[in-house]
Order: sequence, then C-alpha cells, then structure tokens
Amino acid sequence: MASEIRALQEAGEAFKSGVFKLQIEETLNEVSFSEPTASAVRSLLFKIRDVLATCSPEKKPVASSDSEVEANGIKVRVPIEQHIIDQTWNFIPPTRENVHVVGSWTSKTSIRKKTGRTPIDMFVGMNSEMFEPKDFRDYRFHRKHAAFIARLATVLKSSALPLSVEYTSSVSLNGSFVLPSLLIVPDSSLLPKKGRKLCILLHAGPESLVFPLKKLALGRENVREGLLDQNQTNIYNWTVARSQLTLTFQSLMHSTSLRATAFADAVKLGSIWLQQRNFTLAKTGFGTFEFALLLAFLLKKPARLPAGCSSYQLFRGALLFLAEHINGSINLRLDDDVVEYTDASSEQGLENKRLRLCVDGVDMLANVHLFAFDLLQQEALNSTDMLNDLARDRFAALFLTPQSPSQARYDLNLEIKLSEPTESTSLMHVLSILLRKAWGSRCICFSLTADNNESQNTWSLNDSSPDDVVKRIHVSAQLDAHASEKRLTFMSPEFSSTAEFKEFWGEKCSLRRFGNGEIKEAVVWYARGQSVSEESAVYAIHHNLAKLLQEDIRCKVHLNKLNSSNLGSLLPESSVGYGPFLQSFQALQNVLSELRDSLPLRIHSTMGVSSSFRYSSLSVPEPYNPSDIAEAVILLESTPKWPSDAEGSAIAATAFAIQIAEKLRDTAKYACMISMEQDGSVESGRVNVQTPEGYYFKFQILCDQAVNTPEGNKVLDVTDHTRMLASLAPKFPTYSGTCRLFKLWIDKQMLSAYFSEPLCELIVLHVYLNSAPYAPPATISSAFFRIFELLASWDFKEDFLFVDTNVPEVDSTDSNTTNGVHSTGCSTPAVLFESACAGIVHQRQQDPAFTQAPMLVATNKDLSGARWSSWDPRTRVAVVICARLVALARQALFIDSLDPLFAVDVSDFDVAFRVRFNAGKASKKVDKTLSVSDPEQAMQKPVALAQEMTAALRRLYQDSLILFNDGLRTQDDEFILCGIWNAFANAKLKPGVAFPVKPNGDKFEVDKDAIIAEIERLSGCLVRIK
Amino acid sequence: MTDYIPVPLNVGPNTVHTIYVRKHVDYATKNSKGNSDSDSDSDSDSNSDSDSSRSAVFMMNLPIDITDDNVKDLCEAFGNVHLIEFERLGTRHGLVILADDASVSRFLSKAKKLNTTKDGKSKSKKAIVFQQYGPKGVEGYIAKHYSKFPSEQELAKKADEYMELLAERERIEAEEAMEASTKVDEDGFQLVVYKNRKRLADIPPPVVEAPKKKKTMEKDDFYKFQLRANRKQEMTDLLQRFQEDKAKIEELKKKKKFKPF
Repeated sequence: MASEIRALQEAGEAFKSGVFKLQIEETLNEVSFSEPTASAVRSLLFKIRDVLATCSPEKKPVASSDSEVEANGIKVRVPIEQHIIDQTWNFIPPTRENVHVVGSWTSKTSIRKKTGRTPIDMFVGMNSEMFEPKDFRDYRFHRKHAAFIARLATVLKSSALPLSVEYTSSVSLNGSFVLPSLLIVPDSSLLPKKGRKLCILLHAGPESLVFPLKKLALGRENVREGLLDQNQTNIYNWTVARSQLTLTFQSLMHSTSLRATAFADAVKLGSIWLQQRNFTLAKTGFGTFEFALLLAFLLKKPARLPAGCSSYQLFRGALLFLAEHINGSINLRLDDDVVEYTDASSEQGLENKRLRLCVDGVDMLANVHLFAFDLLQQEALNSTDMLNDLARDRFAALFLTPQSPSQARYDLNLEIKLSEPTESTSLMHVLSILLRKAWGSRCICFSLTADNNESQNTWSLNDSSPDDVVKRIHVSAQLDAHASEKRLTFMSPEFSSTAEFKEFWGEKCSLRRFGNGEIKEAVVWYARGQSVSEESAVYAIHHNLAKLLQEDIRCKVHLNKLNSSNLGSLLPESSVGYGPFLQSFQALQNVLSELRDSLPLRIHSTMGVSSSFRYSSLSVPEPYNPSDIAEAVILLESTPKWPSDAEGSAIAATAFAIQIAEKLRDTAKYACMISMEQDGSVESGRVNVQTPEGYYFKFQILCDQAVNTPEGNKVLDVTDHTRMLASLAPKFPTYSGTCRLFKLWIDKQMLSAYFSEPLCELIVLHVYLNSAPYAPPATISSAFFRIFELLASWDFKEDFLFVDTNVPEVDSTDSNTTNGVHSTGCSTPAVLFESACAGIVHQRQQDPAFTQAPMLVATNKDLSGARWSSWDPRTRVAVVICARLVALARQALFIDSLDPLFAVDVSDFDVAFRVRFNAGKASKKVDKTLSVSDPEQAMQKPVALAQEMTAALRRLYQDSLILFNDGLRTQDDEFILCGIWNAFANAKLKPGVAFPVKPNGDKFEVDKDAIIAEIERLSGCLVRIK
Repeated sequence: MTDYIPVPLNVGPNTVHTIYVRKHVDYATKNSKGNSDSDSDSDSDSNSDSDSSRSAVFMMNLPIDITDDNVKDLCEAFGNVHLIEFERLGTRHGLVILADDASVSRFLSKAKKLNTTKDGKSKSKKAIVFQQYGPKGVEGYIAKHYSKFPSEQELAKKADEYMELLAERERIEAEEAMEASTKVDEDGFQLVVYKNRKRLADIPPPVVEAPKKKKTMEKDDFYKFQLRANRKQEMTDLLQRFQEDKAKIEELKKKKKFKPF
C-alpha cells in the first residue's frame, strides 16, 4: 500500500498528471510487440544469422562497366567515369559474431508503424581487412559495400528459409541510390499473426572505425572536385561515417538505456509523435533513430537532461531542445565520451540554418532535408505548448491523432510540375533555399513532398537500382498571418548581397524611394487574383528553379483549387471594407453622447448588436444600401421613474426614440425615422438613422432597469459578444473572411436558421484561439478547413468547446506569438476550465435528451455553453440537425473543388421548392439617388421580407415539417426552401395541434398535402421542384 | 372522433383539406350564464335576449389562413345559415357562432350530407372550394412592413397619454403611501414612510438577518493526530483520484481510444 502511494506521488511529479501517465502506459502497450512475437522473431533472426554465416570466401571483381559497378545483380552508379579502376578484393565472409541485431528492436524501442512494415535492423560487420585506407574516397567504399550486400543477398536467396529478399535504400546521391540494404520479408508461416507486419532490414558496414572521422567531417570533399555540391558532399561523408558507426551507436543507445531507464519509453513516445506528424526517414530524413540519437546526446555529459527523468520528462526535454535550439549543434567526442553544445551555427548562409548532431565533426543529420528543421521546430513548439496545458487533456492531439490533410494543417498549398524528371535530393535542397528566400518572414515553415511512392526506393535483386527522380512536388507552407500579405519585399538576411537579391527577383525588383526618404531595392506585389505569398512563390519558382538546378527544365506551379483567393472570391464583394462603416458609427456615437444634457435621461452607452460590428456579416455594409441596416442599442441611465411593466417600458422607450430622432434631426446631418418592432409581447419604437456617409443604423432604446427582462438580457449578451469580438477579430487578419465564408457555407447547406450567428462566430474563434495542435491559421483556406476538421471530430454529445476569450498579452518579440496572441491557446487557467466543465455538467443535467442545446460552446462569460446554441422551444429535432452539420463537415473534408462545396443539394429532403420572392421594392440594388434625396423613403424600403416569410413558415410548421432554406444570410429574393417531415410529429385530432391531420385507419397522421398547399398559399411564390 | 363531422375543403388542384365540425354543446349554457351575470347590471345590452339563443359549431383542423370570409362561404354552402361571428380559439380551431340551434342543426346536417353518399362512402368530389382572401405572400409582408412606420405625432400622442396616466397613477400611489403613514395599527405601531417614497409596494420587507456563525478557534493542523489524519486524508484522496483515473482509462480503452495508428 505504502509503495503504491509512493509510486502515485512520484507519478504526479514525474508526469504531467496521473491520467497522463496511465494514458502513456496504455498507448505504449498498444504499439509494442508482445513477448510471443519477440520470441518468434528471435528464433527467425538466429536462423538468418546461421544462413549468413554460410558465405564462402572468394575473390571478386567489382567494376563491370563504365558507369556502373555490378556485383551479383546490384548496380551502383559511379559518377566519375574516368576514375573507374578494375578493383579486386578479398571477400571475407561474415561469421556468426559479425551478425548483430541493432536499432530499435534490440533497444526495445520498436513500435508498430502507421503504414507498412515495422523494420528489425540487422547489421553484418565487414572485416576491416577488406578495405584500403583511402577507400572512403570516390565511392570506393560504396562499391565494396554494394558488392558485399549483393553477396549476402545471394546467400539468403539460395537458403531454404522462405524469405522474400529485395534491395532498399533511403539515401541517394546524384539521383542514384547508394548504400543499399536488404529488405527481408519473412513468410507468414515464420511469424505469429501479430508479427506479420514485421520485416528485417539487413545493413552492412565496417565493424570498426576503418576510416578516420576527421576525413569525413563537414565540408571535406572526398569525391573528385566539382561533382558534388556542399550539401551532397556532407551527405556523402555521412553515408560512409554512418555505416561504420552503426555498432558505436548501438552501444551508445544501450549504455544510455542502462543509465536512463525511461530512455526506451521516451524514444517510443518520440517515434509515435514523429509518425503522427509524417516525419519519416523517407519524407524528411528525420526519423526515430535521429530522435533517439538526440535524446542520447542530451543525456550525455554534460547532461542537459538528468538520467532519472521519466519518459514524459525526457520526451518533453527533447521537444524543448528542438523548439529552442533548432539552429544549434551538438558534437559528441568519441575519445572522452562527452558532448559539446553550440547554440547557433557559426557558418553563414541558409544551408547552415539547421540542427547538427555531430560525431567527431561528422553531421549525423546531413541527410535531413533543410526544410524539415523549421517544420520540426514548429511542431515542437506547438507540442510543448500542449504539454504545458494544465486545463485540457491534450494527450490525443499529441500522440493519438494523425495530422490532418495539408489543406487544414497548412495555410498555402501548391504543386510544382517539372518538364523533366529531376534528381530528388538536389531538388529538395534547392527548393528549400529558394522558398526560404522567396518568402522570408512571410513563412514560418514549409513542407516539401515529392510525388513518388515510397516503394520506389525498393527494387528486386535482378533489377538495377531505379533513379531517385521526381517530376512533381507538393509545397505546403505555414505562413505568418501578419507578414504574409505585405505588399513589399525588401532585402532580407536570406540574401548575402543586393546583387543576389536583384538577380533572384529579376525584373520584379526595382530601386524605389520611400516616404521616409530611403532609397532601396524592393519588390512590389499587386496580388491581383491571388495572395502575395502565392504570387511571390510562383514567380520565384518560375524565375529561379531551372537556374539553380543548372538544368534545362521548365516548371508549372499549380495552386490548390481551394486556395484562399478562390474561396475569398465567393464572398460578396466589398469596395470599402468595415472601416468607413465603423467610423460612421463612431461619429454617430459621439453625436449621441453630446445629447446627454438635452434628454430627460442621460445616454449611458451606445453599443453595436449586428454582426457587421463584429467584422463577420456576410455582406460588408455598403453606403446608401438600406438592406445593410445595422442594429444597435442605446442604453439609458437608470431611473426609478422608468415604468416597471412591459407595456409602459415600451411606450417610454418609444417616447425616448422620438426625442432622440428629433435631436438628431436638429443636428441637420442625420435623417431619422421611427419604426415599431416587436419586443416579446409588446411593440416598442426604434430610431432608424441614415448617417451623412450613407450608412443605416437602427437603435433600440433600453433603460438600465429594463435589462433585467429576458429580452433586455439577450440584447446585452449580444452587445457583450460584439464587444469581445470587436477587440479580438483585428488580432487575426483572416478571422473576418473565414467567419463570413463559414456563414456562407452554413447558408448554402440551408442551416442558417438553426445555427445563430454568434454560435458560428464562436466556432470560428475557437479555431483561432484554440488552434492546438497547430499554430493559428494565417489564411482563409486553412482556417476554413480547420472548422470542418473541428466539427467533424466533435462528439458534441460527450464533449464541448471552450473558447477562452481572455487572451494573454505576451511579449510580441516572442517568435511563438502572432501579434501578441498566444499561439495555440493552451494557457487557459485550470480553475476556469473546471468551472466551465461544472457549468456544462449542470447544463447537461438540465437537458439530458439534447432537446435544448445539443452543441455547447462555452466562453468565459457563458459557462453553461448554451447561450447561443439553445433551441426555443425545445425539440427532439435539435440533435438531428446538429448531427447533420457534423456529417456535412465530415463530407466537406473530402471535397477538393469549390462548386460541390458550396452547392445547394436538395436530394436529402422530402420536399423542395424554388422560391421567387420578388419583393420589388426590397431589391438589394443600391438606389443612391433616392437614398440621398429622400432618406426617409429609403429607410422604409422593405428589406429581408423573404427571411421574415421563411421564419414565419418555420415557426408554423416546426412540429410537422422541418424547413430549411438558403439565402438567409445573403438576403436573396430567390432561394431554395426544403423540408423533411418530422418523424417525431405527434399527429392527433385535438385542439392545439399545430398542423393539419388526416385519418389513417384508426389513427391520424400529418396531412402532408394540406401542409404543402398551405405553404404555397401563404408564400404565393413557390415552384415545387421535389 | 366519432362526434366530429369531416368537411372536405378543396384547397388546391387535387388537394383536400379536411376540417372537423361538431356542435359546441357548452356554448349556449355558458353564453346564457354570462348574459345572466350581465343582466344584473342596469346598463345591460338590449340584445341580451337574442344572444342567449345563439348556438355554436366547434371546428378543428382548420387551414392556417382561414378567414371570416371563408367561414361565411362555408355557412352559405351549409344551408345558407347566417354567421354571427367566427371566434378563433387557436391557430387551427375556433367557434362558428350561429343565430340559434336550428341553424347549427342545419349546418351540421348539410355537412353530414356533403360528407357521405347514400351508401356511406366518401364524397370528396363535392368538396367546398376554399378561396384565399386577403393579401398573398409578398403583398402581405410588404403591407405588414409599412405598418411598422406609424406617424411620429400619433406615437408621441400615445406616449403623452400614457405618461399622463402613469403620472396620475403615481400620484395616487404616493397619496396612498402617505396615508398609510398616518395610520396606527391595533398594536399601536405606525408605519414609517419617507417623504420620497412613491409607492407602498416599494417599501422593502424587514430583513431577517441570519445568525452569524461563531468563528471557531480550533485549529485543524496543530496536534499530531490532526496532522496524521490530514496526511491520511491526502493519501486517501490520492488513491481515490487514481482509481477514478483508472476507471476513466478503462472506459477510453473500451472505446479503443489508444490506437494511434
């Protein structure tokens, strides 16, 4: 008992929480291999070792042609033709002692793979007598290695064991795969069922250090001058060094796992984390081995991480290191077994902005693509944020959920198509540098994915190795929301000189004089039809790629069909934006505040209610367009004289409205009208105002006491919501566009009537304020698809959304911030979140059948989460419509073009009508002449009558026919009205039943024909289409 | 249902909307009772005698847009009875008030005849045509929209009238309050009313303060046994939390939530 308690206390300290520890244990159990499997694998490995030991010694020629070295079917291309020498060598067969099981299997860090087979690494040591001292030069080592591996392949192929043997390689130089291994897939009869997704990777290499590492250090050229560039030279040196250090690393991992008992589990966690984020050896060059190596280095003297740490702490420590020191380097000195840290690479140039894990000066991450480091850093930053979250359980997002398709993860996606197949490694490297230069501070990180399948680097024993070439590359970028759309590009640290800058941007670059008198080279982007980030990348690739590759190739750059520009073009056009509208309101507010002494009661405040004050109305208010009338509230100071009854209160409000209208007219600038609107059971007056700038506002008058009524409370809730969004929205430049687009989508799915505008706005805000596991979106397209991802994964019956609107202001110099907004929203105080959870539990107790508010979105001011998602009256239909939203969002994630995404689909409905509600005077077209000459007539123009009609129909038939229509937010006069017969309709012949019924045997049923006839009569403008 | 007579209305091409009618048995009783109450008043209506003879038909499952004109059409079709009033009781039910019982009987018998043939089968072809009266669709909504803009003078007048009434009411209430302050109750107490008090109802009821809890001086972390008990409690809480966590994990495991791939 005491030991159990001690263990629990330790778990609380060593792990984030007790639950987190249990979750880690369960996940690791899930991905680990069982003991019976391990035992079967051991037996198989012994058999393979025995087979390998049957090799016989022989003298074998290596070179067979001018450009290739062939040995037993394997061909390795040699780039230096004149250096081919007929080299003969003694093949010394491996003994049992030379065959080792290495890597993750032996260090017990092997986990099941996301796709494909989990490899078990075997290493066959090559006797050092097989090598000459200078064999590390000019591919001589590679030739001998290839011949050796080919010999092993022959032996394995001729053995009696039922094995499938192929060559595989993950490294290529000049388009040819080098340092091949053998991929051995055992017959299913050899392994138990759970081990059938295992394979064996047989590597070969010198058993000891036969070539001095200092000769393979960074930048040391070992291939004839000019054949390999700096990056390829480093990769070449890495291949030789990595091959002969296999057993050194094995012993490093072993000793580390003995010293730090949690090492193996930490590596497993790292492996899962990397796999979920698509970091594999083939895609980025950074895989489980590299993570384990980093962790082993961090545990070496002088230890950054103490050996006694838990697996969680070790994993977190490694992520913190990646987040903070991605441009640093660690060098392990083999002589004295210590590591040295260097914070940032002393070498200049974009090529050197990378993490280096060196062993006596040889970089073990030389094969990692340059772009992967920024990506790794960003993922590490996001994940450390999630690990620091004390409120929400982020385990699933960290380890269990695979990263989404790129259109939600990344802000910008494009595809480069090349006219000729191009060598993959060089292309990746050149593109990494090119895009870093082109985007500069616009981009935080980007990912390059070659469009070749992973099986390309595997070939059969009888074939020569394929070329590692690529014709198409996908580029996905995470942009900086505030810098990505800047219209000017200046000389940046990515360029070493102005001449380089000018050459890079070509004709786009020009010498310009700026307002502050500065004269400098700059590029101006006009971004016509596409965003600045898209335009700059497309131009830079077209202008520079062929030049940098030094090849005569042409390339075409295709943007994703659902890019921000295309999506943005769906929104109603706006010539002016929200600025003049808000300024006009501000001016009106000032005038109203000056009326304080001329009214019986002082005006306490004037607040906006409509979504146009929150930057989220579907159409941006245009001047002299009465359809764009914005609603607001004038709150009067409290007085004991204000009538307490509803009728009196409404009459008093009307009287004040008349007085305010008169005063505003007196200023001779504002045209005013009084209209009577329904407030609950009574009608009260509103002041309709047309400002000199041509904007229309409708003010409701409320007294401080009146806010205690349900209607008053509702209005104040909206004003609170408006105030909150008005302050938050400008911090996210794309929030407004995304919100409008989401509302348009909801409208096209005919769900606008069921999901209130504030609810939609909060869902969108959640994507920005709680963006984990990503950074906040920087474009409309990524934000839009993240909304779908959020809705698609939202089990709304079990879970709720919490939008913490208290965004902490942090240091703006912090790289992990967006204009002072914390990146992933993991800083919600635990106490606040617990209060929200308690509020939600209470709400669920009130609504166990999900008839009132199935989807709960809580905020700091609404801990019940039901303020904006409540259905009035309660209905069983609510949960069905919420489920429809989720289903539509799931479907939307798989759509890759605009039209089907925003199409109105009537196939799911029982009845459908096309409505031509031509209100005549309600036309949306702006009649500027009339509006200027007779503003009162303009203000009386009937607007949104179609919406009024559909709302009335929906209210009338809510118990029998669930009605849906589009055009609600777009205020169209022509729209589709659809309906589904309510399966829960209680059809009886009795007073109070709200729909016509007809007899059906002994019972009654909904009289569908009568209902449709009624709807046709009431609207007078329906054409039935289904 | 057996009491009701179905009446088919032809509401559109090949569309019949059936309404259900029956005699409203309680109407005459209630009406006569209401009239007898009003008879006691010296200013009673001279038509009270004729009112007491009225009778009514209760109608259900009415079309939502049924108007008095539609009911008139119905009355004309059913024995040319004279409609006194159509009283809506809800969205889909109402009373058709007719002159007397004879009219009701005629109405119902005609309805029955319309509904059945000699062999008792349905006779939907003879359904009564339901005409739409009043503004249709957009016209109605436009008319409703313009009615939202009454003249400001009218509104101001209405507001002034209400304010005068309010002021009068307030004056009376203030007088009542002041009057109450002069009265002495049977126990000899007199209500204290401040001169600014507008209404008696505004006087708050006396507040009964809850007895204050005495602050205990006892410390819960002083004696060794208390410290021991606290430690034990902490351990128990820890174990309990662990058990809860384990249960939670088991639940997640059942839902297969720990499969990363």
